[in-house]
Amino acid sequence: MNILKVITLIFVAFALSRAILRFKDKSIKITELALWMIVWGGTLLFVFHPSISDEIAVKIGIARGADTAFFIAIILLFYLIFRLYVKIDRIDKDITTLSINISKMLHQNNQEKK
Amino acid sequence: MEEKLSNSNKIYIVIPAFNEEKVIGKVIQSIKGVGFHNILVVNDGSTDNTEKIAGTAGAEVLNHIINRGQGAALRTGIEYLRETIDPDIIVTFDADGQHQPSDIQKLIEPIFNNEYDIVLGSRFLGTKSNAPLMRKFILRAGVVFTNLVSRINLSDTNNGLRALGKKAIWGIDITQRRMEHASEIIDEITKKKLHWKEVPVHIIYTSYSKARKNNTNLNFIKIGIKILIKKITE
Repeated sequence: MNILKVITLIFVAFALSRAILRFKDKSIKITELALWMIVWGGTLLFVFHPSISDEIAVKIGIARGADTAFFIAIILLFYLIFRLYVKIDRIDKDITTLSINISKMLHQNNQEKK
Repeated sequence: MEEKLSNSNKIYIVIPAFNEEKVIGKVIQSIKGVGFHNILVVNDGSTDNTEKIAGTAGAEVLNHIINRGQGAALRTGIEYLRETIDPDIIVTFDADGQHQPSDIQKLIEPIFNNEYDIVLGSRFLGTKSNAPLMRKFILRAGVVFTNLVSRINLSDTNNGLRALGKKAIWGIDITQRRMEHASEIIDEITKKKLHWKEVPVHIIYTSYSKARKNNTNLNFIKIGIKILIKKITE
């Protein structure tokens, strides 16, 4: 087993364990867990059976297997960044609502004191 | 008529303000000078004396504990007034001294006469604007963009001077916390089927207002991108 395979295995094991723990404490849904399993399972498959990428490459019309792996990785990254954006946006909106409500509460408290 | 409008207790001027200590006092005084005394300043997490100066000048002041942007400050002001006073008309007014208090009358009259739900100030309608050339170009591009996205035909889509009648006060939801709220309000006009009108207003670009961070040309491009993302994700 070469170094790349060892590192990938350790990283995937760590990432998957995190996903399973987060599913157990109900902070992610089963669909999200399934998504992560597919992502990391796919990664292992590509690293341990590089020939599979060639087979997929032929099927989707890309010449080289390695290119397919990059292609999929880039699409995945775009998707993840988009999800992050949506999440950050939601948190940002929550913070705004919080500040608005706090400012109204503080103002009403001040007026009652007067 | 003028007397009747300005003396009504149910007309409120909402001013979102962030670090405007240099001008906020004057702005409040000038609004009072044309007869409007119900002034609500939403101090958007300023680190200077905006709160104190606005209070001394005679405005009611609400404070954001952190800076959230002009859209969020307007939302605070409108929500607060909705829940407490339930005003007939809310006028939104910029804190940086660009808007002219003498224009308020023109904005509220069509609502007062029950003809429209919302009246928007336009710097490109009739009056001559002293906007710098680059700003004019970007504003025009913004107008085309917003009109396309919101399926409306306005001459000025990023003007902070507007008057909202009851239907608009209760109907318009502002979710965009920064400058994008201006385009969002226009979007809401179409969605909520509000009767709208544009009236010419005079905007004075001072070296102070031009130097404000929110007013940079790059910022207008950022706003466009944000609106597009919102359209895709909603």
